[in-house]
Amino acid sequence: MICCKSFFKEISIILFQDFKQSVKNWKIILIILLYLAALFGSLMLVDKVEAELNKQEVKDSKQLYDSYGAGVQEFEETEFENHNLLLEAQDKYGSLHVLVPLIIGFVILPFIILFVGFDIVSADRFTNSLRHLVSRINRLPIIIGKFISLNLVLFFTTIIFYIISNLYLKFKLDLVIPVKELIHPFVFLILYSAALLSIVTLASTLTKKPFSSLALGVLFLIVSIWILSFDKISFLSVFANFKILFNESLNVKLLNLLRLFLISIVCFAVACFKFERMDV
Amino acid sequence: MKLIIKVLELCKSYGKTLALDKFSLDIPAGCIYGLLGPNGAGKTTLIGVLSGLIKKYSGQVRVSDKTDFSEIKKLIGLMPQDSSFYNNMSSFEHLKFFARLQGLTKSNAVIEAYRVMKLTGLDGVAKKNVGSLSHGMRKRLGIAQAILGRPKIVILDEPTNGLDPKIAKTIRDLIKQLKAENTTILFSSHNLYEVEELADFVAIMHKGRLLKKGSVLELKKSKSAEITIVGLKKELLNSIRIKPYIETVSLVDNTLLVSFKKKDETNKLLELLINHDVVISKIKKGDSLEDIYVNIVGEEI
Repeated sequence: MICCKSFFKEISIILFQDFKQSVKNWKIILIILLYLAALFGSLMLVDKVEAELNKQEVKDSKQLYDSYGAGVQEFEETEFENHNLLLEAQDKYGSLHVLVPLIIGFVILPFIILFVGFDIVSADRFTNSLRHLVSRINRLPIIIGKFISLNLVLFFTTIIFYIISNLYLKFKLDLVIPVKELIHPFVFLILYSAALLSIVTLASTLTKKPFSSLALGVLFLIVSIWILSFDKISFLSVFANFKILFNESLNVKLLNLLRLFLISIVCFAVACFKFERMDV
Repeated sequence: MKLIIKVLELCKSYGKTLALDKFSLDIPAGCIYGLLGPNGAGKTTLIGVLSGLIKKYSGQVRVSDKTDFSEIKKLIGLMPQDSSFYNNMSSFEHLKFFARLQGLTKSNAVIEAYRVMKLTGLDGVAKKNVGSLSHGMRKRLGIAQAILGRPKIVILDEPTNGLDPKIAKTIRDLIKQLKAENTTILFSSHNLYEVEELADFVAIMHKGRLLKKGSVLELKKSKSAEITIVGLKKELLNSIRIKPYIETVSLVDNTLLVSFKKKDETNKLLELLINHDVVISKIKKGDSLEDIYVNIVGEEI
């Protein structure tokens, strides 16, 4: 019991310390800001595209009206039809304001996590500062604390994005996205980043030099893309089941989240095993 | 004498290089133990094994009758060779952080951080970022974090390496002070005078093996001599080697480094050399730790 208590205490000390360090680290701050900028950029783009589409639809309808001299009724029918098509699309794929940032997040998160976490272990190992920690406490709390700390940074970044984007939609467009619709993308982004971070952490425990761990992290992500081409094992890739983001039943979505969770657990467990056994 | 560290048949290799080769050592409690040896002798590897940094090795380590490293770590404070810290943290923040890891509460960690800062003379730079500290100050910080929480054993890997004589002296004084508080200190050094001044016991290592160990007084009793000569033939050197009164002999740059088995037999040796037409230009009867070290390690080289 006492052992368990000290284990969690050690994790919390490392976690808090690393979180503080991350918040002070200009490199991490810059990358996180770029990530947020990309997500907000995608949101703005959705607004712009939707506005353009609406303008085009009205213009087309007016042209129809002028050219063929059809009555007002036809114009209204066309507009009604377009409106229905939009609603149908929204029903099928969900709100574009939710979907597009999700896709952008899916595409750029691997790069963000690679640059934020490639030296999660190797930096301390390279500078020998890890020796101070390892000579003082057990190794497991060190790697767990560091891993959770970076996950927390990404977790808070995602929360910040969702809060600010919803405030923006509410006050600029008077659009309220139901919480129910936000839960899946939110959990997906969190688990997806955890899975990616566990892969990068594993790479970081395998080499001593930060540059080598960056190269290894890139290699792991390339392998993850490569295994998508094998149907039987593609589910092992962190990038698998991309289409689930668009339209699938709740059960399939949950299974996909579970898959990401398991990838995180397995990769992180291997990283812990390696970290436990290596010479510092 | 109660032993606090017992090391038995330690073996550790890096690829084909043996860093520790069946290395055994006993360290008594409350003493200052010096590890001497040239670069690559295995001193840092031994320290790494004792402090749990190195995991892949064979042999036994027992510290204060404990073999589990999660318990051993609580007894040891380590200052690694190249102490590196987080540059954007202040000395005080560092020490508080490590004191917390030692298991102290927040308020006790603050008190302990201030205690060791005062002890190591860091109180003037408590709020300065570590990145802006001088080499000497960083060394002091390394020692300060090693003595946090008053560990039973303090291990210092080359604590005065690269320091100016004044700071080196303050660190040596600090080590003496720790001994006075009944702390066992194991340290490695290249500085023979420092080891002679500080250590109660010395282990001389080379290529992962223990060449000689014992108290400094004991080692200094062994008789040795340095004879600068010209014209020594290899056959004569070999015949000197097998003389019953010779313990070790080696030739380094025209200087014959000799240690005798029981008593000083320099005269007997000089007679032998003169009889073989060897020109003798200088004789130095040595009994400092440096002579002993050069004799022992010189022969190995």
